[in-house]
Amino acid sequence: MPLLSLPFSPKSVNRIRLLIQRLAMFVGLGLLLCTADPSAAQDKPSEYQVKAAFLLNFARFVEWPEGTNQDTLRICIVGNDPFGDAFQTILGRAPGSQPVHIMHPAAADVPGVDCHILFVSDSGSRELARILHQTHHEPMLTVGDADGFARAGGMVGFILRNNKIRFQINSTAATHAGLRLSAKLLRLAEIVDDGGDD
Amino acid sequence: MTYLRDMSIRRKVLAVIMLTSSIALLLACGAFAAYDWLSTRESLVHRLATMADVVGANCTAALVFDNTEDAQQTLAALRAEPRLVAGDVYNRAGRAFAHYGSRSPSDRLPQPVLPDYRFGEDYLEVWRPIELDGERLGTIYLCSELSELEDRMARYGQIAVVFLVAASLVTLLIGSRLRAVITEPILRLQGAMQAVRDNPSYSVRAEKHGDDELGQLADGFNAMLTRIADRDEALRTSLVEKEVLLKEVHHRVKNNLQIIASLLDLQANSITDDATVEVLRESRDRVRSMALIHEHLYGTEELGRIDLSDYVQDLCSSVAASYGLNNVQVLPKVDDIVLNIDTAIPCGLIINELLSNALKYAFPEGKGCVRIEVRRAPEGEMGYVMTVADDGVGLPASVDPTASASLGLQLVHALAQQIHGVLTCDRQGGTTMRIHFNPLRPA
Repeated sequence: MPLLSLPFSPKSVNRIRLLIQRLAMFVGLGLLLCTADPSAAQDKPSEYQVKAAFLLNFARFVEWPEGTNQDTLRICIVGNDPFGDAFQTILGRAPGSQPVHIMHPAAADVPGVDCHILFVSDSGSRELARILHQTHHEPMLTVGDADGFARAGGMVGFILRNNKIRFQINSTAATHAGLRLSAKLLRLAEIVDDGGDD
Repeated sequence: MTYLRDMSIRRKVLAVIMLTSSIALLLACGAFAAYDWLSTRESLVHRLATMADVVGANCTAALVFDNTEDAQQTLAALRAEPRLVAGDVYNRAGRAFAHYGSRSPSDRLPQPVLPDYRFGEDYLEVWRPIELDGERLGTIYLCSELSELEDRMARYGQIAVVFLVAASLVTLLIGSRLRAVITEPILRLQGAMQAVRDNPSYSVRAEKHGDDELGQLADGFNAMLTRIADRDEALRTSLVEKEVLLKEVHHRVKNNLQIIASLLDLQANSITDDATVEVLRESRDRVRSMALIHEHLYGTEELGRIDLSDYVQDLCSSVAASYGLNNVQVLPKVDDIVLNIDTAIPCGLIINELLSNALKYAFPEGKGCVRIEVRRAPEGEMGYVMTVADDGVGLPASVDPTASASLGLQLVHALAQQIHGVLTCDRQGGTTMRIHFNPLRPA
């Protein structure tokens, strides 16, 4: 399945895919070191360390529309940044990985930002409806941890199930935005719809 | 081994054919089974590894997002494969992550093995890495029963047995026809040999059916027969020539002896002294009895053997004639006896002496009877009994036949010893001289 086409030669497409894969590898490595095998890590990872790892891993199961620049994985965090140094911790365990650019745009600037993943924190959800409305045609994976985030038109919403972090996915919203979500990802998620019941 | 050695050639050839084909078939079946065993094992490993890869690929997201339930569900799909007894997913650190099957999983990934599969006694284990974009996320372990391989080998064994039986039948059918190529010429040769053995003539020839070793054998056999026939013929010819020569010799000996007898006769005619004439006559009669032997020898089929009956008849006639006693009966009675010349000549001389003595002394009145008999000894005794009996005046009591001064009786005594005979004399009612003799070289 081609990731990119017209503006790039097949060679550069391959290079980009390779870069993404490499990046993802290190991210995944870090994640596993801290989540899957707690005994190997010093402490049990915090909620937002897990969520940060999930954010990075989402990129491995999402295809952005062709033509999207994917040299750097750009993650925008709107509202209060709950992650602290979680990203630095994860990425620091995988030195030499492709850069992940974390941006903190103001809620008002959202329609103009160029991100792969847009995380709307719970504290930023006052403007949630507007932001989701303004970005619903942009090729950005919207992720949030507000209650009913996905049902409100977001694509991926973190939830807690049996004390574990899981997620809901609004696949309609992703499709509208031109993103293709891997079936493997969808299988792990609770699928919801705009305005549909949980 | 003895059984094999004494088997007929037909059976031997068939046995060799059957044995060879069976061994070849068994080897072929064994090779096929071994190949199939190996290739089935290989394909089993490949299939299980592929299954592990597919299941592993479906577990990547579950591993990445730490979702054990999803991995369990994915593994649960393995139910479709009844031979699969266990399937475990381990995370990157080697900790058990998800499990399927009745067997309880080990907490930790078993020691990594190379190659990434292992054959147990009745199961196959496979370990495959779970990777996403080149990154190793964990390991999947599958364990399958090997009943398929066992079933397959059992089926192979059945096929091999059926095939072996069928092939043996076909081989038996074809082999029993083809063995004739080898056995027929041998049997024909054997037949020819039997014909030669049973038939005194050497005209039989072995039939030749080709230029192989058996053909050469037939050729050699025929060549041998030809040579034997030639030699046989040559020997016969040579024997006939020798017989002719021997007859000629006997004939000449007889002639010469008759000449001697005639000379003695002539000599006697020119002498006036009666005693001398008597001596010459006796000598003449002895020579004649010998000449008669040679006459009989060249007259018979078998040279060197005398039909005693004919000879004694002639001898008695000849002796009786020379004494001209018309009123004395000479009655020879001889069994059907054949003697060789070494025994026949002494016998003839003895009869000549005893008959002459009888004719000369027993019948002063010129009337009586002399019986000459040669018979086989009674049952249980060897040899023959020769009797010369007259009913004349009898031998004077003073004469001892074994120690007589008379040349005739001395001769009889000596000749009887020569043929291992025992001389007895009975003086009741005339004289009966009896010799029980036993020739060393019976005819």
